[in-house]
Amino acid sequence: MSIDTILVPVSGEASDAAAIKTAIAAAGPFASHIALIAIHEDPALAVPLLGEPLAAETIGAIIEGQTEHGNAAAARARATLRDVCAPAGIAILETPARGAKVSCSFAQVWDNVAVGIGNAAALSDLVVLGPIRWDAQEAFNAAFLDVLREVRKPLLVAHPQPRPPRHVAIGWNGSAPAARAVAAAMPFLERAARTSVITVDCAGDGCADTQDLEDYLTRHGVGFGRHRAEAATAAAAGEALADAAAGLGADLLVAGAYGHDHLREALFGGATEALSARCAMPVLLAH
Amino acid sequence: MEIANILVPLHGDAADDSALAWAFALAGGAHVQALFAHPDARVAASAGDLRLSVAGRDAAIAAARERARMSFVEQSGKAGAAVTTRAQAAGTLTASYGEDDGPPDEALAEAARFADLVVFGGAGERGFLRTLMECGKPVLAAAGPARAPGRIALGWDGGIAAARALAAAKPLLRRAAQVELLVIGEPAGIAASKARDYLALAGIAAAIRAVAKTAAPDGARLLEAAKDADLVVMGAYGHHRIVETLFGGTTAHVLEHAGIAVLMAH
Repeated sequence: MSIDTILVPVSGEASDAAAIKTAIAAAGPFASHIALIAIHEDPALAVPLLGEPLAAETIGAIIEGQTEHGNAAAARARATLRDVCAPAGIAILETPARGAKVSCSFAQVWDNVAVGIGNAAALSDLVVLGPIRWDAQEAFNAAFLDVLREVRKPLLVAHPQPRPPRHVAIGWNGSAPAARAVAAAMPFLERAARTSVITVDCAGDGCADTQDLEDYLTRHGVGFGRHRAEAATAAAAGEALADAAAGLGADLLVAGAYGHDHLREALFGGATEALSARCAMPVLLAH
Repeated sequence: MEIANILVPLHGDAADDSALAWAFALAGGAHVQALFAHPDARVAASAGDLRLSVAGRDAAIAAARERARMSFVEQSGKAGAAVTTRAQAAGTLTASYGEDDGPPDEALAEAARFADLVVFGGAGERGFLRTLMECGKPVLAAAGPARAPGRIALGWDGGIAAARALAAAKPLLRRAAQVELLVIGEPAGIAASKARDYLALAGIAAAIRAVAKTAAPDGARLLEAAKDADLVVMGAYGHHRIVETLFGGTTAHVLEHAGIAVLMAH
Protein backbone atom coordinates (compact mmCIF):
# COMPACT_ATOMS: atom_id res chain seq x y z
CA MET A 1 0.00 0.00 0.00
CA SER A 2 1.17 3.45 -0.79
CA ILE A 3 -0.39 6.88 -0.43
CA ASP A 4 -0.32 8.08 -4.03
CA THR A 5 -3.11 10.66 -3.96
CA ILE A 6 -4.29 12.80 -1.05
CA LEU A 7 -7.55 14.74 -1.27
CA VAL A 8 -7.99 18.02 0.59
CA PRO A 9 -11.48 19.53 0.27
CA VAL A 10 -11.04 23.24 0.98
CA SER A 11 -13.66 25.75 2.04
CA GLY A 12 -11.97 29.16 1.88
CA GLU A 13 -11.90 29.30 5.68
CA ALA A 14 -8.79 29.86 7.83
CA SER A 15 -8.71 26.13 8.64
CA ASP A 16 -7.57 25.38 5.07
CA ALA A 17 -3.96 26.25 6.00
CA ALA A 18 -3.77 23.53 8.67
CA ALA A 19 -5.31 20.98 6.30
CA ILE A 20 -2.84 21.80 3.51
CA LYS A 21 0.16 21.73 5.89
CA THR A 22 -0.99 18.42 7.36
CA ALA A 23 -1.39 16.94 3.87
CA ILE A 24 2.11 18.09 2.90
CA ALA A 25 3.65 16.53 6.03
CA ALA A 26 1.78 13.27 5.39
CA ALA A 27 2.73 13.25 1.69
CA GLY A 28 6.47 13.50 2.39
CA PRO A 29 7.31 9.79 2.76
CA PHE A 30 5.49 8.93 -0.49
CA ALA A 31 6.02 12.04 -2.64
CA SER A 32 2.22 11.92 -2.99
CA HIS A 33 0.21 14.25 -5.13
CA ILE A 34 -2.15 16.49 -3.11
CA ALA A 35 -5.37 17.37 -4.92
CA LEU A 36 -7.27 20.31 -3.44
CA ILE A 37 -10.87 20.72 -4.42
CA ALA A 38 -13.15 23.63 -3.66
CA ILE A 39 -16.65 22.25 -4.12
CA HIS A 40 -19.66 24.53 -4.27
CA GLU A 41 -23.28 23.69 -4.74
CA ASP A 42 -24.12 24.17 -8.39
CA PRO A 43 -25.97 27.54 -8.44
CA ALA A 44 -28.74 26.06 -10.57
CA LEU A 45 -29.37 23.52 -7.78
CA ALA A 46 -29.64 26.31 -5.20
CA VAL A 47 -32.81 27.73 -6.74
CA PRO A 48 -35.82 26.64 -4.68
CA LEU A 49 -38.02 24.32 -6.69
CA LEU A 50 -41.07 24.40 -4.47
CA GLY A 51 -43.37 27.16 -3.27
CA GLU A 52 -44.29 30.33 -5.13
CA PRO A 53 -42.79 30.58 -8.61
CA LEU A 54 -39.83 32.96 -8.54
CA ALA A 55 -39.36 35.89 -10.87
CA ALA A 56 -36.64 35.41 -13.46
CA GLU A 57 -34.62 38.22 -11.92
CA THR A 58 -34.84 36.61 -8.47
CA ILE A 59 -33.51 33.36 -9.92
CA GLY A 60 -30.77 35.32 -11.64
CA ALA A 61 -29.86 37.02 -8.37
CA ILE A 62 -29.69 33.68 -6.53
CA ILE A 63 -27.45 32.18 -9.17
CA GLU A 64 -25.25 35.27 -9.28
CA GLY A 65 -24.95 35.38 -5.49
CA GLN A 66 -24.08 31.69 -5.25
CA THR A 67 -21.51 31.99 -8.00
CA GLU A 68 -19.83 35.01 -6.40
CA HIS A 69 -19.82 33.31 -3.02
CA GLY A 70 -18.20 30.18 -4.47
CA ASN A 71 -15.64 32.07 -6.49
CA ALA A 72 -14.61 34.18 -3.50
CA ALA A 73 -14.18 31.09 -1.32
CA ALA A 74 -12.14 29.35 -4.02
CA ALA A 75 -9.94 32.43 -4.44
CA ARG A 76 -9.24 32.53 -0.70
CA ALA A 77 -8.39 28.80 -0.67
CA ARG A 78 -6.11 29.23 -3.68
CA ALA A 79 -4.30 32.12 -1.95
CA THR A 80 -3.84 29.98 1.17
CA LEU A 81 -2.39 27.19 -0.98
CA ARG A 82 0.13 29.61 -2.54
CA ASP A 83 1.08 30.99 0.90
CA VAL A 84 1.74 27.49 2.27
CA CYS A 85 3.50 26.07 -0.81
CA ALA A 86 5.81 28.98 -1.69
CA PRO A 87 8.07 28.86 1.44
CA ALA A 88 8.07 25.04 1.34
CA GLY A 89 9.14 25.01 -2.32
CA ILE A 90 6.22 22.83 -3.36
CA ALA A 91 5.02 22.99 -6.96
CA ILE A 92 1.38 23.80 -7.71
CA LEU A 93 0.48 21.94 -10.92
CA GLU A 94 -2.29 22.72 -13.38
CA THR A 95 -3.39 19.10 -13.47
CA PRO A 96 -2.61 16.26 -11.04
CA ALA A 97 0.70 14.53 -11.85
CA ARG A 98 3.27 12.51 -9.95
CA GLY A 99 6.93 13.39 -9.70
CA ALA A 100 9.88 12.73 -7.42
CA LYS A 101 8.62 15.34 -4.95
CA VAL A 102 5.34 16.25 -3.29
CA SER A 103 3.14 18.38 -5.54
CA CYS A 104 -0.27 20.04 -5.30
CA SER A 105 -3.07 20.90 -7.67
CA PHE A 106 -6.23 22.93 -7.24
CA ALA A 107 -9.64 22.41 -8.81
CA GLN A 108 -12.89 24.29 -8.39
CA VAL A 109 -15.97 22.11 -8.87
CA TRP A 110 -19.62 23.09 -9.18
CA ASP A 111 -21.69 20.11 -8.25
CA ASN A 112 -23.90 18.66 -5.62
CA VAL A 113 -21.52 18.84 -2.64
CA ALA A 114 -22.13 15.28 -1.44
CA VAL A 115 -21.76 13.78 -4.94
CA GLY A 116 -18.68 15.85 -5.79
CA ILE A 117 -16.83 15.05 -2.58
CA GLY A 118 -17.84 11.40 -2.74
CA ASN A 119 -16.54 10.96 -6.26
CA ALA A 120 -13.28 12.77 -5.51
CA ALA A 121 -12.72 10.86 -2.26
CA ALA A 122 -13.43 7.52 -3.94
CA LEU A 123 -10.38 8.03 -6.16
CA SER A 124 -8.02 9.12 -3.35
CA ASP A 125 -5.93 7.16 -0.88
CA LEU A 126 -6.35 9.55 2.06
CA VAL A 127 -8.64 12.49 2.82
CA VAL A 128 -7.49 15.37 5.02
CA LEU A 129 -10.09 17.08 7.16
CA GLY A 130 -9.31 20.54 8.51
CA PRO A 131 -9.74 21.18 12.23
CA ILE A 132 -13.27 22.28 11.39
CA ARG A 133 -15.74 23.99 13.63
CA TRP A 134 -19.07 22.26 13.47
CA ASP A 135 -20.96 25.55 13.65
CA ALA A 136 -19.04 27.08 10.77
CA GLN A 137 -20.39 25.17 7.77
CA GLU A 138 -22.78 22.60 8.98
CA ALA A 139 -24.18 21.54 5.61
CA PHE A 140 -20.73 21.12 4.13
CA ASN A 141 -19.43 19.19 7.12
CA ALA A 142 -22.45 16.93 7.23
CA ALA A 143 -22.21 16.05 3.56
CA PHE A 144 -18.48 15.58 3.85
CA LEU A 145 -18.63 13.22 6.80
CA ASP A 146 -21.61 11.23 5.61
CA VAL A 147 -19.96 10.69 2.27
CA LEU A 148 -16.74 9.58 3.93
CA ARG A 149 -18.75 7.06 5.88
CA GLU A 150 -20.01 5.65 2.59
CA VAL A 151 -16.69 5.87 0.77
CA ARG A 152 -14.78 4.62 3.82
CA LYS A 153 -11.48 6.25 3.08
CA PRO A 154 -9.06 6.90 5.93
CA LEU A 155 -9.42 10.38 7.32
CA LEU A 156 -6.55 12.52 8.59
CA VAL A 157 -7.68 15.21 11.02
CA ALA A 158 -5.37 18.19 10.57
CA HIS A 159 -3.23 19.95 13.13
CA PRO A 160 -1.93 23.54 12.68
CA GLN A 161 1.72 22.53 13.26
CA PRO A 162 2.18 19.06 11.78
CA ARG A 163 5.55 17.30 11.70
CA PRO A 164 6.82 14.64 9.29
CA PRO A 165 5.35 11.30 10.48
CA ARG A 166 8.58 9.76 11.77
CA HIS A 167 7.11 8.51 15.04
CA VAL A 168 3.64 6.99 14.75
CA ALA A 169 1.55 6.10 17.80
CA ILE A 170 -1.30 3.56 17.59
CA GLY A 171 -4.16 3.93 20.04
CA TRP A 172 -5.27 0.32 20.43
CA ASN A 173 -8.58 -0.67 22.03
CA GLY A 174 -9.13 -3.95 20.20
CA SER A 175 -12.11 -2.63 18.21
CA ALA A 176 -12.83 -3.25 14.53
CA PRO A 177 -12.46 0.49 13.69
CA ALA A 178 -9.06 0.50 15.40
CA ALA A 179 -8.02 -2.50 13.28
CA ARG A 180 -9.20 -0.70 10.13
CA ALA A 181 -7.26 2.41 11.18
CA VAL A 182 -4.08 0.37 11.61
CA ALA A 183 -4.58 -1.24 8.17
CA ALA A 184 -5.13 2.23 6.65
CA ALA A 185 -2.04 3.58 8.43
CA MET A 186 0.20 0.72 7.26
CA PRO A 187 1.94 2.84 4.56
CA PHE A 188 2.95 5.30 7.30
CA LEU A 189 3.91 2.57 9.75
CA GLU A 190 6.09 0.78 7.17
CA ARG A 191 8.06 3.98 6.64
CA ALA A 192 8.15 5.34 10.21
CA ALA A 193 11.36 5.35 12.22
CA ARG A 194 9.45 4.47 15.37
CA THR A 195 6.04 2.99 16.22
CA SER A 196 4.44 2.99 19.65
CA VAL A 197 1.41 0.86 20.54
CA ILE A 198 -0.59 2.52 23.32
CA THR A 199 -3.32 0.69 25.21
CA VAL A 200 -5.53 2.46 27.71
CA ASP A 201 -6.58 0.81 30.95
CA CYS A 202 -9.99 2.28 31.79
CA ALA A 203 -10.92 2.28 35.45
CA GLY A 204 -8.70 -0.71 36.14
CA ASP A 205 -10.57 -2.93 33.63
CA GLY A 206 -7.33 -3.90 31.96
CA CYS A 207 -6.02 -3.28 28.45
CA ALA A 208 -7.07 -4.71 25.10
CA ASP A 209 -5.16 -7.76 23.90
CA THR A 210 -2.41 -6.82 21.45
CA GLN A 211 -1.20 -10.22 20.21
CA ASP A 212 -2.96 -10.18 16.80
CA LEU A 213 -1.99 -6.54 16.28
CA GLU A 214 1.63 -7.34 17.08
CA ASP A 215 1.68 -10.26 14.61
CA TYR A 216 0.14 -8.03 11.93
CA LEU A 217 2.74 -5.30 12.47
CA THR A 218 5.57 -7.84 12.52
CA ARG A 219 4.43 -9.38 9.21
CA HIS A 220 4.56 -5.90 7.69
CA GLY A 221 8.09 -5.46 9.04
CA VAL A 222 7.04 -2.82 11.58
CA GLY A 223 8.97 -2.83 14.87
CA PHE A 224 7.18 -1.28 17.84
CA GLY A 225 7.29 -0.39 21.53
CA ARG A 226 4.46 -1.04 23.99
CA HIS A 227 3.00 1.62 26.26
CA ARG A 228 0.12 1.78 28.71
CA ALA A 229 -1.99 4.72 29.76
CA GLU A 230 -4.62 4.91 32.44
CA ALA A 231 -8.00 6.61 32.42
CA ALA A 232 -10.46 6.98 35.29
CA THR A 233 -13.47 6.35 33.03
CA ALA A 234 -14.13 5.04 29.53
CA ALA A 235 -15.16 8.58 28.51
CA ALA A 236 -11.68 9.86 29.40
CA ALA A 237 -9.90 7.23 27.26
CA GLY A 238 -9.49 9.61 24.30
CA GLU A 239 -7.82 12.27 26.40
CA ALA A 240 -5.56 9.74 28.12
CA LEU A 241 -4.56 8.43 24.69
CA ALA A 242 -3.86 11.93 23.32
CA ASP A 243 -1.76 12.78 26.38
CA ALA A 244 0.21 9.53 26.17
CA ALA A 245 0.94 10.07 22.46
CA ALA A 246 2.07 13.64 23.16
CA GLY A 247 4.21 12.45 26.07
CA LEU A 248 5.98 9.98 23.77
CA GLY A 249 6.58 12.78 21.24
CA ALA A 250 4.60 11.07 18.47
CA ASP A 251 4.11 12.90 15.16
CA LEU A 252 0.94 11.05 14.15
CA LEU A 253 -1.72 9.23 16.13
CA VAL A 254 -3.69 6.32 14.60
CA ALA A 255 -7.05 5.50 16.15
CA GLY A 256 -10.46 4.07 15.29
CA ALA A 257 -13.37 6.48 15.19
CA TYR A 258 -15.59 4.65 17.62
CA GLY A 259 -18.63 4.95 19.79
CA HIS A 260 -21.30 5.76 17.20
CA ASP A 261 -22.78 4.43 14.02
CA HIS A 262 -22.36 7.72 12.24
CA LEU A 263 -18.94 9.17 11.66
CA ARG A 264 -20.42 12.65 12.13
CA GLU A 265 -21.45 11.80 15.66
CA ALA A 266 -18.27 9.89 16.31
CA LEU A 267 -16.19 12.92 15.37
CA PHE A 268 -18.35 15.58 16.92
CA GLY A 269 -19.24 13.99 20.17
CA GLY A 270 -17.69 11.66 22.64
CA ALA A 271 -14.27 10.14 22.74
CA THR A 272 -13.09 10.94 19.23
CA GLU A 273 -13.93 14.63 19.50
CA ALA A 274 -12.12 14.84 22.82
CA LEU A 275 -9.23 12.98 21.25
CA SER A 276 -8.80 15.17 18.17
CA ALA A 277 -9.49 18.43 20.03
CA ARG A 278 -6.84 17.67 22.63
CA CYS A 279 -4.34 16.02 20.36
CA ALA A 280 -1.02 17.77 19.73
CA MET A 281 -0.61 16.06 16.35
CA PRO A 282 -2.71 14.98 13.35
CA VAL A 283 -4.96 11.97 13.97
CA LEU A 284 -5.53 9.25 11.36
CA LEU A 285 -9.03 7.82 11.74
CA ALA A 286 -10.90 5.01 10.08
CA HIS A 287 -14.49 4.10 10.64
CA MET B 1 5.77 -5.24 1.16
CA GLU B 2 2.26 -4.51 0.10
CA ILE B 3 0.25 -7.65 0.85
CA ALA B 4 1.75 -9.22 3.95
CA ASN B 5 -1.08 -11.39 5.25
CA ILE B 6 -3.56 -13.40 3.13
CA LEU B 7 -6.43 -15.14 4.90
CA VAL B 8 -7.85 -18.32 3.35
CA PRO B 9 -11.02 -19.67 4.99
CA LEU B 10 -11.19 -23.44 4.43
CA HIS B 11 -14.35 -25.54 4.39
CA GLY B 12 -13.19 -29.07 3.78
CA ASP B 13 -14.19 -29.31 0.13
CA ALA B 14 -12.42 -29.31 -3.23
CA ALA B 15 -12.62 -25.50 -3.47
CA ASP B 16 -10.03 -25.32 -0.66
CA ASP B 17 -7.33 -26.53 -3.10
CA SER B 18 -8.10 -23.74 -5.54
CA ALA B 19 -8.27 -21.07 -2.82
CA LEU B 20 -4.91 -22.08 -1.37
CA ALA B 21 -3.28 -22.35 -4.79
CA TRP B 22 -4.42 -18.79 -5.61
CA ALA B 23 -3.31 -17.45 -2.24
CA PHE B 24 0.18 -18.90 -2.69
CA ALA B 25 0.34 -17.66 -6.30
CA LEU B 26 -0.40 -14.10 -5.11
CA ALA B 27 1.62 -14.27 -1.91
CA GLY B 28 5.14 -13.46 -3.07
CA GLY B 29 6.84 -13.21 0.31
CA ALA B 30 3.65 -12.85 2.31
CA HIS B 31 2.09 -15.03 4.98
CA VAL B 32 -0.83 -17.29 4.03
CA GLN B 33 -3.11 -17.92 6.99
CA ALA B 34 -5.47 -20.86 6.47
CA LEU B 35 -8.42 -21.04 8.85
CA PHE B 36 -10.86 -23.91 9.27
CA ALA B 37 -13.87 -22.75 11.25
CA HIS B 38 -16.44 -25.44 12.02
CA PRO B 39 -19.15 -25.42 9.38
CA ASP B 40 -21.87 -25.76 11.95
CA ALA B 41 -24.56 -24.21 9.74
CA ARG B 42 -23.98 -26.66 6.93
CA VAL B 43 -23.72 -29.64 9.25
CA ALA B 44 -26.82 -28.60 11.13
CA ALA B 45 -28.69 -28.32 7.83
CA SER B 46 -27.52 -31.70 6.64
CA ALA B 47 -28.35 -33.09 10.03
CA GLY B 48 -31.92 -31.97 9.40
CA ASP B 49 -31.92 -33.44 5.92
CA LEU B 50 -30.21 -36.68 6.65
CA ARG B 51 -31.21 -37.15 10.28
CA LEU B 52 -27.60 -37.37 11.32
CA SER B 53 -26.92 -38.37 14.87
CA VAL B 54 -24.60 -36.29 17.02
CA ALA B 55 -21.94 -38.91 16.36
CA GLY B 56 -22.58 -38.63 12.62
CA ARG B 57 -22.37 -34.85 12.81
CA ASP B 58 -19.07 -35.05 14.63
CA ALA B 59 -17.78 -37.48 12.03
CA ALA B 60 -18.79 -35.09 9.25
CA ILE B 61 -16.93 -32.22 10.93
CA ALA B 62 -13.88 -34.40 11.51
CA ALA B 63 -13.86 -35.49 7.86
CA ALA B 64 -14.14 -31.89 6.64
CA ARG B 65 -11.39 -30.81 8.99
CA GLU B 66 -9.12 -33.58 7.78
CA ARG B 67 -9.82 -32.68 4.15
CA ALA B 68 -8.99 -28.99 4.87
CA ARG B 69 -5.82 -29.84 6.76
CA MET B 70 -4.58 -32.20 4.02
CA SER B 71 -5.27 -29.56 1.40
CA PHE B 72 -3.17 -27.09 3.39
CA VAL B 73 -0.31 -29.57 3.80
CA GLU B 74 -0.33 -30.35 0.08
CA GLN B 75 -0.66 -26.78 -1.24
CA SER B 76 1.83 -25.23 1.20
CA GLY B 77 4.29 -27.99 0.32
CA LYS B 78 3.80 -27.42 -3.39
CA ALA B 79 4.41 -23.67 -2.92
CA GLY B 80 7.50 -24.31 -0.79
CA ALA B 81 6.10 -22.24 2.08
CA ALA B 82 7.69 -22.47 5.50
CA VAL B 83 4.95 -23.48 7.96
CA THR B 84 5.08 -21.35 11.09
CA THR B 85 2.64 -19.73 13.46
CA ARG B 86 5.24 -17.28 14.67
CA ALA B 87 4.90 -13.92 12.92
CA GLN B 88 7.91 -12.73 11.00
CA ALA B 89 8.55 -9.87 8.62
CA ALA B 90 7.32 -10.49 5.08
CA GLY B 91 9.98 -11.43 2.55
CA THR B 92 9.92 -15.20 2.74
CA LEU B 93 6.78 -17.18 1.97
CA THR B 94 5.27 -18.55 5.17
CA ALA B 95 2.00 -20.27 5.97
CA SER B 96 -0.01 -21.32 8.98
CA TYR B 97 -3.07 -23.50 9.54
CA GLY B 98 -5.51 -22.86 12.36
CA GLU B 99 -8.87 -24.12 13.54
CA ASP B 100 -11.57 -22.24 15.38
CA ASP B 101 -14.48 -24.02 17.00
CA GLY B 102 -16.38 -20.86 17.91
CA PRO B 103 -19.20 -19.42 15.79
CA PRO B 104 -17.69 -19.51 12.26
CA ASP B 105 -18.95 -16.06 11.15
CA GLU B 106 -17.32 -14.43 14.15
CA ALA B 107 -14.10 -16.41 13.79
CA LEU B 108 -13.84 -15.33 10.16
CA ALA B 109 -14.62 -11.67 10.89
CA GLU B 110 -12.03 -11.65 13.67
CA ALA B 111 -9.32 -13.14 11.45
CA ALA B 112 -10.22 -10.87 8.50
CA ARG B 113 -9.48 -7.76 10.56
CA PHE B 114 -5.76 -8.34 10.15
CA ALA B 115 -5.82 -9.69 6.61
CA ASP B 116 -4.73 -7.61 3.62
CA LEU B 117 -6.67 -9.92 1.29
CA VAL B 118 -9.15 -12.76 1.83
CA VAL B 119 -9.19 -15.63 -0.71
CA PHE B 120 -12.16 -17.99 -1.08
CA GLY B 121 -12.43 -21.09 -3.25
CA GLY B 122 -15.41 -19.53 -5.00
CA ALA B 123 -18.20 -17.04 -4.54
CA GLY B 124 -20.51 -19.81 -3.37
CA GLU B 125 -18.32 -20.64 -0.38
CA ARG B 126 -19.83 -20.02 3.02
CA GLY B 127 -18.76 -16.65 4.41
CA PHE B 128 -17.87 -15.13 1.03
CA LEU B 129 -20.67 -12.59 0.78
CA ARG B 130 -20.58 -11.75 4.45
CA THR B 131 -16.85 -11.09 4.35
CA LEU B 132 -17.20 -9.06 1.16
CA MET B 133 -20.10 -6.98 2.41
CA GLU B 134 -19.18 -6.49 6.04
CA CYS B 135 -15.43 -6.73 6.58
CA GLY B 136 -14.31 -3.95 4.24
CA LYS B 137 -11.46 -6.11 2.95
CA PRO B 138 -10.79 -7.03 -0.68
CA VAL B 139 -12.05 -10.55 -1.33
CA LEU B 140 -10.94 -12.87 -4.13
CA ALA B 141 -13.12 -15.65 -5.54
CA ALA B 142 -10.69 -18.19 -6.98
CA ALA B 143 -11.31 -19.74 -10.42
CA GLY B 144 -9.16 -20.86 -13.31
CA PRO B 145 -5.44 -21.59 -13.19
CA ALA B 146 -3.72 -20.07 -10.16
CA ARG B 147 -0.87 -17.80 -11.22
CA ALA B 148 0.33 -14.29 -10.52
CA PRO B 149 -2.02 -12.30 -12.79
CA GLY B 150 -0.20 -10.73 -15.74
CA ARG B 151 -3.35 -9.41 -17.41
CA ILE B 152 -5.94 -7.75 -15.22
CA ALA B 153 -9.32 -6.44 -16.38
CA LEU B 154 -11.04 -3.75 -14.30
CA GLY B 155 -14.81 -3.53 -14.68
CA TRP B 156 -15.69 0.17 -14.55
CA ASP B 157 -19.25 1.37 -13.96
CA GLY B 158 -18.46 4.79 -12.48
CA GLY B 159 -19.50 3.75 -8.97
CA ILE B 160 -17.79 4.16 -5.62
CA ALA B 161 -17.46 0.40 -5.08
CA ALA B 162 -15.57 0.11 -8.38
CA ALA B 163 -13.24 2.88 -7.18
CA ARG B 164 -12.69 1.01 -3.91
CA ALA B 165 -11.87 -2.15 -5.86
CA LEU B 166 -9.29 -0.23 -7.90
CA ALA B 167 -7.60 1.05 -4.73
CA ALA B 168 -7.62 -2.43 -3.17
CA ALA B 169 -6.14 -3.99 -6.30
CA LYS B 170 -3.21 -1.55 -6.57
CA PRO B 171 -0.58 -3.98 -5.21
CA LEU B 172 -1.62 -6.57 -7.83
CA LEU B 173 -1.99 -4.00 -10.62
CA ARG B 174 1.58 -2.79 -10.07
CA ARG B 175 2.87 -6.31 -10.74
CA ALA B 176 0.70 -6.86 -13.82
CA ALA B 177 1.99 -6.47 -17.37
CA GLN B 178 -1.34 -5.33 -18.80
CA VAL B 179 -4.19 -3.44 -17.15
CA GLU B 180 -7.44 -2.64 -18.94
CA LEU B 181 -10.40 -0.56 -17.75
CA LEU B 182 -13.46 -2.15 -19.32
CA VAL B 183 -16.22 0.40 -19.58
CA ILE B 184 -19.67 -0.95 -20.25
CA GLY B 185 -22.12 1.35 -21.99
CA GLU B 186 -22.01 4.94 -20.74
CA PRO B 187 -21.60 4.76 -17.00
CA ALA B 188 -23.06 7.42 -14.74
CA GLY B 189 -20.95 8.73 -11.88
CA ILE B 190 -17.17 8.91 -12.11
CA ALA B 191 -15.74 9.05 -15.64
CA ALA B 192 -13.39 6.23 -16.67
CA SER B 193 -10.73 8.83 -17.50
CA LYS B 194 -10.69 9.83 -13.79
CA ALA B 195 -10.08 6.20 -12.84
CA ARG B 196 -7.25 6.04 -15.40
CA ASP B 197 -5.74 9.25 -13.93
CA TYR B 198 -5.95 7.80 -10.42
CA LEU B 199 -4.04 4.70 -11.53
CA ALA B 200 -1.50 6.84 -13.41
CA LEU B 201 -0.73 8.72 -10.16
CA ALA B 202 0.05 5.30 -8.66
CA GLY B 203 2.41 4.53 -11.55
CA ILE B 204 -0.03 2.11 -13.21
CA ALA B 205 -0.71 2.51 -16.93
CA ALA B 206 -4.24 1.39 -17.79
CA ALA B 207 -5.92 1.37 -21.19
CA ILE B 208 -9.61 2.21 -21.47
CA ARG B 209 -11.69 -0.14 -23.59
CA ALA B 210 -15.35 0.53 -24.30
CA VAL B 211 -17.56 -2.54 -24.31
CA ALA B 212 -20.57 -2.03 -26.53
CA LYS B 213 -23.98 -2.35 -24.92
CA THR B 214 -26.02 -5.21 -26.32
CA ALA B 215 -29.07 -7.20 -25.31
CA ALA B 216 -26.82 -9.51 -23.27
CA PRO B 217 -26.56 -8.84 -19.51
CA ASP B 218 -23.77 -6.45 -18.48
CA GLY B 219 -22.10 -9.17 -16.44
CA ALA B 220 -21.98 -11.53 -19.42
CA ARG B 221 -20.46 -8.83 -21.62
CA LEU B 222 -17.93 -7.95 -18.92
CA LEU B 223 -16.84 -11.59 -18.69
CA GLU B 224 -16.74 -11.93 -22.49
CA ALA B 225 -14.58 -8.79 -22.78
CA ALA B 226 -12.31 -10.05 -19.98
CA LYS B 227 -12.00 -13.63 -21.22
CA ASP B 228 -8.27 -13.32 -21.95
CA ALA B 229 -7.47 -11.78 -18.56
CA ASP B 230 -6.07 -13.69 -15.58
CA LEU B 231 -8.09 -11.70 -13.06
CA VAL B 232 -11.19 -9.49 -13.08
CA VAL B 233 -11.41 -6.64 -10.56
CA MET B 234 -14.79 -5.06 -9.84
CA GLY B 235 -16.87 -3.35 -7.21
CA ALA B 236 -19.74 -5.14 -5.53
CA TYR B 237 -22.96 -3.36 -4.76
CA GLY B 238 -25.75 -4.24 -2.44
CA HIS B 239 -26.49 -4.67 1.19
CA HIS B 240 -26.06 -7.67 3.43
CA ARG B 241 -26.65 -10.81 1.43
CA ILE B 242 -28.43 -9.33 -1.52
CA VAL B 243 -25.89 -8.56 -4.18
CA GLU B 244 -26.87 -6.35 -7.04
CA THR B 245 -25.23 -3.60 -8.99
CA LEU B 246 -26.14 -0.21 -10.25
CA PHE B 247 -26.17 -1.68 -13.70
CA GLY B 248 -28.37 -4.59 -12.94
CA GLY B 249 -27.28 -7.82 -11.36
CA THR B 250 -23.78 -7.68 -12.79
CA THR B 251 -22.09 -8.73 -9.57
CA ALA B 252 -24.35 -11.72 -9.18
CA HIS B 253 -23.93 -12.72 -12.82
CA VAL B 254 -20.14 -12.53 -12.65
CA LEU B 255 -20.04 -14.44 -9.40
CA GLU B 256 -22.23 -17.22 -10.78
CA HIS B 257 -20.67 -17.57 -14.19
CA ALA B 258 -17.04 -16.50 -13.89
CA GLY B 259 -14.57 -19.11 -15.08
CA ILE B 260 -11.99 -16.54 -14.09
CA ALA B 261 -10.80 -15.28 -10.71
CA VAL B 262 -12.60 -12.17 -9.47
CA LEU B 263 -11.31 -9.64 -6.92
CA MET B 264 -14.08 -7.60 -5.36
CA ALA B 265 -14.43 -4.75 -2.90
CA HIS B 266 -17.64 -3.42 -1.47
